[in-house]
Amino acid sequence: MAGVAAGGHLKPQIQRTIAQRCKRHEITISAYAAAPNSSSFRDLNQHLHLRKRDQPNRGGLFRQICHRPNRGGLFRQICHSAYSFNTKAEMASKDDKDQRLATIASTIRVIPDFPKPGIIFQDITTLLLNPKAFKDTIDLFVERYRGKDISVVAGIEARGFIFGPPIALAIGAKFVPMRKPNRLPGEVISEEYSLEYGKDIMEMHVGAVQAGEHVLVIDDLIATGGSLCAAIRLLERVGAEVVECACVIELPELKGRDRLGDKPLFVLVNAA
Amino acid sequence: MEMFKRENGLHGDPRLEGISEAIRVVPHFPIPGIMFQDITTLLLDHKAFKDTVDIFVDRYRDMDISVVAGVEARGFMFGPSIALAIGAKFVPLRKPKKLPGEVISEDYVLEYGIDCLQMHVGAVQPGERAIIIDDLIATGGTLSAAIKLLERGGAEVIECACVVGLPEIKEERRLNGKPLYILVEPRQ
Repeated sequence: MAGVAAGGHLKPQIQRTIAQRCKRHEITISAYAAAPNSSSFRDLNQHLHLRKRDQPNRGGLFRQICHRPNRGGLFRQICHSAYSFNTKAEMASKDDKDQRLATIASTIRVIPDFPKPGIIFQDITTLLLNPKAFKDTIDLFVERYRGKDISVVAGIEARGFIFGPPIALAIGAKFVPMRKPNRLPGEVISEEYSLEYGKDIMEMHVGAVQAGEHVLVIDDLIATGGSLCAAIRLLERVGAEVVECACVIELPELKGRDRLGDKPLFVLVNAA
Repeated sequence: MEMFKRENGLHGDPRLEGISEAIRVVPHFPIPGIMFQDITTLLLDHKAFKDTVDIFVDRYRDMDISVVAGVEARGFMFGPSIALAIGAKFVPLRKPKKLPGEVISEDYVLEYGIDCLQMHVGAVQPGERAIIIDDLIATGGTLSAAIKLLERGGAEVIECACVVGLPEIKEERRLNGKPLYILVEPRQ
C-alpha cells in the first residue's frame, strides 16, 4: 500500500499522478509531505528528502529537479529508479521503526530441521515472550492499517489467531478465523490448496464476511504463499475485497509474494 | 448468568448481556447431543469482543500477572490481547508436534481416549504468576493439563479464565484447587 493517504494535503491531481506512477513502476513511497499548503512539487521539495534506498540522503536533489521544466518527465525518471520519499518527520520516525523491527527480528528463534530435516523453522513463540517486541509487532501493523476502511481481519490457523485479533480490536474490525477442516461448527465454504507434498483444505464460516467488505489477511509467516492464496480465494468467493496480506516474516526464496499475484504483501522481517 | 455475575463481581455489568447474545449456539456439533457454543460470532461483533477482553484485562491488570497462557486454538483468539494489555508474555499451549523447540507434555483424558498438551521449555520461569485462557470450559480436562504444565515449569497459576462455562463446572468454581473466572453460561 503506497503512503498516498499520508499526503492528504496534496492536490488530488498530484496525488493521482503520484499514485499512478508508483503503481506502474512499483515504487515504494514511504510517505508524502504533510506540508499544510503543499500544492505543487515546488512546495514539496522543502519537505521531502530524496533518498535512494540504502544510500545516504540526497535531499536537495529533488529541489533541483523541481526547479527544472517538465517536472512530469523528471518525476518519471525518478520513479524509474529506486528512490523512496520520506518527509523530515518521517525520517525520524523511520529510525524508531527500524529499531522496533530490529528488536522484533532479534526475538524470533530459528530452529533447524523442524518439522523435518533441511527446514529452518522461524519460531515466533519467543517473540510472544517479549511483551515489548510483541506490542511493537502489533503496533507496526495497526499503524499501517488504522483508518484504512478495513472491516475484516482474517487470520489463518493457528498462528494467525495470535496476531489477528489484537490488530482487529485496535482498528475496529471483525476477526474471522480461517481454519482447518471440521473445526468451524457452522456452515462453511471450503477451499483446497496444495502443500509441498499433498493437499490441505481451508474453511471459512458462511456469513462471516459480506460482499464488498475490505479485508486484511494475517499469518505469522509466508513461505510458498499457498495458505494465503487459499484464504484470498475464500474471501473473494463471498465477494469481499482483500486489500493486503500481512505477515511477520517472509521467506523470500520461496517466492510466496509472486504467488499472491496482484495482492500486495506487507511483512516486517525477511528471513533468509 | 445471575450466579456468575454475583460471584465475579460483575453484577449489573451491562456488557455481559451483549457478550452472551453474540455467542451462537450450533446444535449437534461435533456430535449429536452437544449444543456447541460458537464464539466466532462474538469475534464478528467488535464491541462485544472488545468488552470481553476489557473485562478480563480489568480483572488481571493489577494482579502482577507476567504470563498469559492460551490453549490452542480458541485460547489464542483471546489470550494475546489480554497479555498485550497487561504487559504479560503470551505462552501458547499446543497439541503435539506443533511447537518446534524442546517441550514438556501432559496427557489428559477425553471422553473416548487420551489427548496431549505441550508447552515450550523455558517459556515460563519459576515463580512467575500465570493465568490460563480458553474460550470454554466443559469437563476441565484440558485446563487441568494446562495447569500441570505451568506448574511443572515452576509458575504459579493464579486463575483460569474462560468466556463460557458449562453447568457441571459452574458448581465447583475451582479446578485442581485453582479459581475459575467465567463470564457467561452456555445458552440453549
